[in-house]
Amino acid sequence: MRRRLVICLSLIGLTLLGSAPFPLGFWKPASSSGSGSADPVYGQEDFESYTDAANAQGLNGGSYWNGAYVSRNGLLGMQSSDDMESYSDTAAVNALNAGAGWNGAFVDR
Amino acid sequence: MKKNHSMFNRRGFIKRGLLFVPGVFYIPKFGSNPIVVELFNRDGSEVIHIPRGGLNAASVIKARTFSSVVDNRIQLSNSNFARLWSSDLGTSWTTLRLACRISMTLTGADLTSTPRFSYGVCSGTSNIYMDATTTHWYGLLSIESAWYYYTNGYAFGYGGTHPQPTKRITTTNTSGSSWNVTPRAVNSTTENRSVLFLDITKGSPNFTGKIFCRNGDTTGDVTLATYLAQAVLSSPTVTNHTMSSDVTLAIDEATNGYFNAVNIAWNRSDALMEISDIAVVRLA
Repeated sequence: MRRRLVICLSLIGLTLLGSAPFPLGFWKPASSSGSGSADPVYGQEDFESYTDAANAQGLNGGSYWNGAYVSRNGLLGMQSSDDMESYSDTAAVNALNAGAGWNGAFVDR
Repeated sequence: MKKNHSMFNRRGFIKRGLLFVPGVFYIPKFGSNPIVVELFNRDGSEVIHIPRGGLNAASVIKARTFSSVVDNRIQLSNSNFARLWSSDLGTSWTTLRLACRISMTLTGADLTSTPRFSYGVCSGTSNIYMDATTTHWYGLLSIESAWYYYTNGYAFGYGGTHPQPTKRITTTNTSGSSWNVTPRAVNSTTENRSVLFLDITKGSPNFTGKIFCRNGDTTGDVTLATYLAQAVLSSPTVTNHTMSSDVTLAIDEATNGYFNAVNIAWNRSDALMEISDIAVVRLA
């Protein structure tokens, strides 16, 4: 008798658990439309809407993002350089302004 | 009070019926470098003193061709130069490398009378190293009173005191202890460029500096490709070059000015310093 009661209660419990009214979406992304679509709720992107060689900074395609891409380069490595090759022989250095990544011309005294 | 009627002042000239022309109009020059002019009374009091007034021989571009390839350099001759680096880099770096390839013209003899080579970074470009006053500079400074000449090159010293990390604020230099290496620069008229890296890591208050340089009396060339490849590596490897030990020095950028420019100076016009390339590399 007691054994039957335990089995019954177990079956009732399993039934209730299987029909729980709250979504258990934290187990997996819920559908975007709630209708069983395969689209995930979270950020999705396949990059197909962008052009080749586009700078990632500011691109804002895809679905379910909260803003555009922020992308910076040159975080490490050479920031400023000049090999002097664009200058003329015997030129005074003051005010020469070639090279890359400088914030002004040479100051020379 | 006894009037000063020396031969060498205006009153003395007037007394003798001579035409007084301020001495500034006949400052003698050697090459393009004016020298100090000082005139004294017989009692030793100074009548006139015209200082050199800083640097008059500006750096120039020097084109040299090796194996049909032109290599332009900045040639320093008792001169200095500075340049602001990228504002993207600004002052937010943690570890910075000032990189160049360097060589020198040779006199064939030791350089005496305290050659001063300063290789580093400064705050702004208005008052840089070797100007009458310097806002804030930090870098490698040669210390010894003589540089020895070896076949085809110079050592930045005489085997005694290696160069030291040094800061200059207005007219005051403060140096840390010496690095454990002495850079060399080889004959610039031949294909013998050496690498010189200065790595600076910010700290509070101590900045850590180390140098990577040719460290023996050797010759040889570092190609542009090797220089560019090694300049971005935290542990570079170049034949006959060595990385020094770390040496610290207290730096206060907030008080004395944030470093935002490269600044190199050389006080000699007999042996000329040549900088083939220059770069600022952010390592961290």
